[in-house]
Amino acid sequence: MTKKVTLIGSSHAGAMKYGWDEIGADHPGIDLTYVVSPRDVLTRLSLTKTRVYGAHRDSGLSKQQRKALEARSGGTRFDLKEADVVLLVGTNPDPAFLRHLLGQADVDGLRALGAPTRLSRPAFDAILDDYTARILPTANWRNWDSPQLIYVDTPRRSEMVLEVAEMNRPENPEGYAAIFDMASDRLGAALEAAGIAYLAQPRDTIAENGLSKAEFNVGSSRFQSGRSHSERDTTHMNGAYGVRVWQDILARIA
Amino acid sequence: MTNPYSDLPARAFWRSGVTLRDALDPGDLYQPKFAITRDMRVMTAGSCFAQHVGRTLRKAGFNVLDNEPLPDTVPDAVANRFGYRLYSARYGNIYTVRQLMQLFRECRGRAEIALPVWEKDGRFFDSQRPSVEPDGLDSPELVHEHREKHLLAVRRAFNRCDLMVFTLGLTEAWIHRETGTVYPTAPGTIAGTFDPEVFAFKNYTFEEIIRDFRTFRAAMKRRNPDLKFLVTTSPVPLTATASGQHVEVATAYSKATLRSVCGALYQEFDDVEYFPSYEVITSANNRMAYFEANKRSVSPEGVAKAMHMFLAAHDEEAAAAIAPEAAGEGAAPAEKPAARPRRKAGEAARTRVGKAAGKKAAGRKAGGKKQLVNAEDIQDEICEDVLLEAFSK
Repeated sequence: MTKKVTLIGSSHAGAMKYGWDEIGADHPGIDLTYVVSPRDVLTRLSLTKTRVYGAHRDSGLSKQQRKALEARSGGTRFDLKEADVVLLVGTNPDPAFLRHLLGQADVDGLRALGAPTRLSRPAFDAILDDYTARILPTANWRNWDSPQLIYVDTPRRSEMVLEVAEMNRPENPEGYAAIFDMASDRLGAALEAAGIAYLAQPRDTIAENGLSKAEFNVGSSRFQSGRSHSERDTTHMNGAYGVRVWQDILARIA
Repeated sequence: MTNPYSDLPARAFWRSGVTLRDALDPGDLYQPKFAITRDMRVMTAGSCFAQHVGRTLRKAGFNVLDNEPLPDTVPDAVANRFGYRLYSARYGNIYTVRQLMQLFRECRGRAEIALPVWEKDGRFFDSQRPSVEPDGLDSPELVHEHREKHLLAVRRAFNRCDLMVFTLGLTEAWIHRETGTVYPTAPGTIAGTFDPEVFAFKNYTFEEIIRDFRTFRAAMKRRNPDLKFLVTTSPVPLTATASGQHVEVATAYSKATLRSVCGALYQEFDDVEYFPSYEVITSANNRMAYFEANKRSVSPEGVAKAMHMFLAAHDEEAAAAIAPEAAGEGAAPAEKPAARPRRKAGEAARTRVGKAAGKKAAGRKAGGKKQLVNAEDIQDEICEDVLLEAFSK
C-alpha cells in the first residue's frame, strides 16, 4: 500500500532530496511530494483550519514568488489531508538564534568566554523558553489525528564553521553541546505537548563539540538547481545526512 | 519698556501660558540649552521613569549605550524581566543620586558595598540590584561573579558616554548604618532581612543630593570634559513612605526637593540640561489626565506626550515623523529647531500658545509617516514598588 508523504521545508530539504535519491528506490511504497521554499517565502505560507497549506490571500507573496513556488512544488496550495504523513523539515524561522545569543552572551556553568553579557541560568532558561515558543508551529498544526505530522529538527551548523571564521571572527564551541541539547530537549517536549512528533537530529551526526560532523556538510547541494553550496557554507547538510534522517523517519512511519 | 514684564513672551504668563492652553497641549515647556544628536553616546540611569527616555531615544535611532546586550530577537518582555535593555547596563532602577555616585565609585574600586549579597528562600541576590534576577542565583559566589562582570559593563558606559541621562526618583532610601552603603530597595522586601540595628531609613536633603551630583559630575568631567547631562524628576508619587509623614506630604517633599536640585543644577552648569517631564505629567492644566486610576502610575498617553516633546525639541526628523495622535491631541508643533540657545528674559516669543498650536498640530495629522512615540507602544516601566510596599499601611 502506497504511503503519501508530503515534505514541507526550507533549503534544508536539499539534503533530504539527495538522500532520498540514494535510497528512494528501496522504498517503492512511499509517494513523496516536496513543498519547498526559501525561508523568506516559507515564513509567509500558512495553514488553514481545514489543513490547506500554502500561499493564501494574506501571504503577501509576489507574482514571481508564487510562480517560483508553483514551479518547485507543482502548486501554491496543498491539501494536507490527502497525505498520510507530513514532514516539517528545516522550518525553524530563526535557526541562527542560539549562535547569535552565544556570540554576545556567556551562560553560567555552560560557557565562559568573556562575552559582553553574562546570563544566569534562570535568565537563559527564560530566553530558551521564549525561543521554543517562538519556533513552535502555530495552532492549526497541533494535535492532529491524521495525517501523521513529524517535525524534523533543523540540523546544527557544521563543525567546519570553526575553520571558516565567519565574519572574520573565530567561533568557539564551548558549551555548544550542552546548550544545543538543552534547546533540542525543550523543543521536543514542547512539540510533544502540542501533539506534534519530534525527530531530533540523529545523535551520530553530531560531533562532540555539539556541532554537526563535517562529513555531513561537505558537498551539500541546492534543492532545486542541484548546484553545490559554497565551500564556506556550514548551514546545509549533504545527501549522506539526508539518508541518515530518512532512516529515522522511515522507522517512525513504518 | 514700561515694566520688566512688558516684553516677555506669552509663555512667561500664566494666563497665556496655561489658562488659555488646551488641556492636553503640553505647551512650550522645553527649550533645550544644547542639541542632543544621534551621534552622541547616551547613558541612561535613574528611577523607573528614566526607562522611557532610554527606550524612546533608542527607538528614534539615538545611540543609547547597551553594554550588556541581548540579540534583538529576544523580546523586551523577557529581556526586561531580567534587567536587560532597561538602561545602559543592567543596574536596574537607581532612585537616588547617592546610589549613582556609589556605583561610580564602586566601578573604580573606591567603594565597597556592605552586605552585597542578600538571601531569600535559599537563593541569593545582588543587594544593589535585587530585581534583575527575580529568581535569585545559586550561591553568593555567583552573585559576586555576576557583579564583577556587571561593573565592567557599567564602567565602560561611564567611560564612553557623551550624554548622561539621569532621572531623580526618590529622596527616601535605606542605608547600612555603619558604612553608609545605600540600597535601591528596602532590605527584607525583594530579598534580605530587615534589621533595624543594621539598616537605617534615610531621607536625603537638598544639600546632600546636590553635593552628590556635583561630586559625580566633577568626577565624570575629569574623564570627559565635553560630557553633558540631562536630568529629569520622576513624576511618579511615592507608593509609601517610611518618613512618618502622610504619603502625600512626603511625596511633596520628595518631588520638591528633587525638582529643586534639578533646577539648581540647570542654573549652575551650562552642561546640565533639565527636561520638564515632571511638569508635563503633573501640570494643573491637564487635570490629572496623565495618571492612571490609582492617581500614581503615569499613563502611556502621558509618557507619550512627554517623550514627544523631547524628541520634537532634539530631532527634526523624528519630530516630523511623529503623527500628532501619537502624543494625543494638541501635540507640540514639530518645527522647532534641533536646539536653541538659552533664551534671555525679554526675547520675543516664538511659540504659539493655546488653540493655535493645537490646530497647527492637528493639521499635521495626515502627514505623519511613522510614529516613534505611540501611547500603545509604551511599555510598563519596571518599578520596584515592592521597595516601599512593605511599609505601606
